[in-house]
Amino acid sequence: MRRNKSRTVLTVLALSIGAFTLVLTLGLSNALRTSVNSQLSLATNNELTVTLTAENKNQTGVAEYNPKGTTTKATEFRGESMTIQFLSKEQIDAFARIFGVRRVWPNNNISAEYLQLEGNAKKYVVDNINEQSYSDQAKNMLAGTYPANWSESDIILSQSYADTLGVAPSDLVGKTVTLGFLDAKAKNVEQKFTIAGVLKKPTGFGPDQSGTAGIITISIDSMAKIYETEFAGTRDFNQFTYANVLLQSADNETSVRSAITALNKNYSISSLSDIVSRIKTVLNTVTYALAGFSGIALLAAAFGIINTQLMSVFERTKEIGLLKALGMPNKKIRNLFSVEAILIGLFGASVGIIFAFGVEIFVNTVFRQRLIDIGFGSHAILISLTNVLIVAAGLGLLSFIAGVFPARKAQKLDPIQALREE
Amino acid sequence: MIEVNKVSKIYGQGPASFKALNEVSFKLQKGANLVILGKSGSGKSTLMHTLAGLDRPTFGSIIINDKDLWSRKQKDIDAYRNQTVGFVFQDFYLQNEETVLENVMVPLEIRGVADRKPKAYEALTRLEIKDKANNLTRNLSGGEKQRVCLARAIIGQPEILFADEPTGNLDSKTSEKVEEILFKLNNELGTTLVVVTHNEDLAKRFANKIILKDGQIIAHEGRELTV
Repeated sequence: MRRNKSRTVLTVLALSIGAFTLVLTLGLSNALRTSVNSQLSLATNNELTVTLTAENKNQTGVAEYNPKGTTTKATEFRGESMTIQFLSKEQIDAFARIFGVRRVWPNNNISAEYLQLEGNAKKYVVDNINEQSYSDQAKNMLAGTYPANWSESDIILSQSYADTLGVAPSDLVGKTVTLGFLDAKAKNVEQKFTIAGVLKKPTGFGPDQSGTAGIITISIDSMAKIYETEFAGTRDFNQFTYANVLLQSADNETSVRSAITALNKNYSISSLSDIVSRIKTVLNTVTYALAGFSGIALLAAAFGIINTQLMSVFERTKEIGLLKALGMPNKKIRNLFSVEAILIGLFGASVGIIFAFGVEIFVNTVFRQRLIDIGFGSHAILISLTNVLIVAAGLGLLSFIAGVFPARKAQKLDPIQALREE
Repeated sequence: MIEVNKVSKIYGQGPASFKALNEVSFKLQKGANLVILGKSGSGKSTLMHTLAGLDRPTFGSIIINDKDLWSRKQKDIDAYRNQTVGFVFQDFYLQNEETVLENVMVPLEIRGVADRKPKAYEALTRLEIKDKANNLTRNLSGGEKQRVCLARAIIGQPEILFADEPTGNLDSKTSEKVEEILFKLNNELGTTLVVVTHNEDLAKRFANKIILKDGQIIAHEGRELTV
């Protein structure tokens, strides 16, 4: 190797670029996975969502009009197009009787006309009404507390209201707000709530809610009551697109799923774990694709090793002839070149890995605050020991394979012919 | 004892083939010295290469220590090259970027001997070149290089020492010194000595002689030699 330093250095460099890219890709993927996991863990709340798949899902064309109201609906639910059948209140109530179920409620698709703070003349739009969450929201609170036991008068406002009203979030806590709705006959109905707390602006991978949107959170019971106010007497009253099933614990998921399916085989159940697993599959696919591209770079570099070692065999033909004439066994001659190839590979891997670590430290240090601000986490790159070992071992193996052909060529040389080589 | 039975060596195939050795047979006693003479292309070097385990004959057999050399397994032929014989090349074939000591130790390194240095110094002392042990071989004179080559050949204490034109590239004074060393090894250690040369003065000093022409023995002499 030391005979032709520049050639060896260039080969090592080619390999190191491949190793660098591969380690960095794996490190980026780790950081992304960690960030997604931590974001999703905030939302883990042992909830199942149940829809009823339409029995005539195989129908072709547009469904015939039914004056009594549509019983099926083509919808997009959590990224999947499906035709669902509405759930009745009775069907939803049946879920509550299943062992291991803590609470069941339908999706009460309600909207509010306005929100008005006591003592304030202006009314503001409500962009979105969220129902109370059973996951830990303490981290997301700007002021006040997220109620552990929601009462019907509790309300949580998003930070955007505090910003718009020009009131300190902590000053809003305990104040009364009025929500205005339109009932089924388009008559204005008002309901008073007490502000329990203020939520931070959403960050990271949460639902797409801009920082200026007016978002409120109220209890499930309140939502049910408002739903009744808004829809009682309408044709589609008590026809729900899906039901939420809260489990007593995650351990009950399998048994509850079986029990729901036993009620009707057309029930389609999804949970956060399904979504998490789907996101992870996507992440893994992207990681493998990127790693594959780095692998191609490494493959190209492997040809560099073959070239370097073949040149070395040609240049050292006389030396190989002498070693054979002095009794060096073929196996040792072969090992000589194989070990050199492996060393080149390991050097390349080491240089690439060191550079990747350098970039990891640089990026994570320089962009740390920015990453935290956007809710990604504190690391953009997370290179693990497993990544390093896999790349080093993989490159060692690749180099060994690349060295086989030149090594065999060296082994097959005839000593006398090799010594006569000019 | 070296026993050569109807050894032929043919290079190439078909009409372009060339017969370098043609049914050469002889026996040489253990510890004897033999010079192989002949013009260029007579087959001298080829004969020596087949004897030293470097070139496989096309036909015939070579019996060394009661065993057919070329019927042995490759690893035994490698061991024969490394342990039973020593070879002095006309062109030295030294590693120019390495020191004299490193060059001399190569056969023991191949053999896997851990304590190589004392034996290397012993060989260098015998060849009167110990003071150059740490010099790079590229900085040595022709005579010095030949002595390093000799030291490398004898470090493993071979039973048979082959030398191809050992004085071919040397001036007369250095040639004499190398000759002295070769015969000293033959006399003192009982090493069988087989030398190929054009040098008539050197040839006269050998007790046994073979003259080759067109791959065949055309003349021979010596008590320890049977043809």
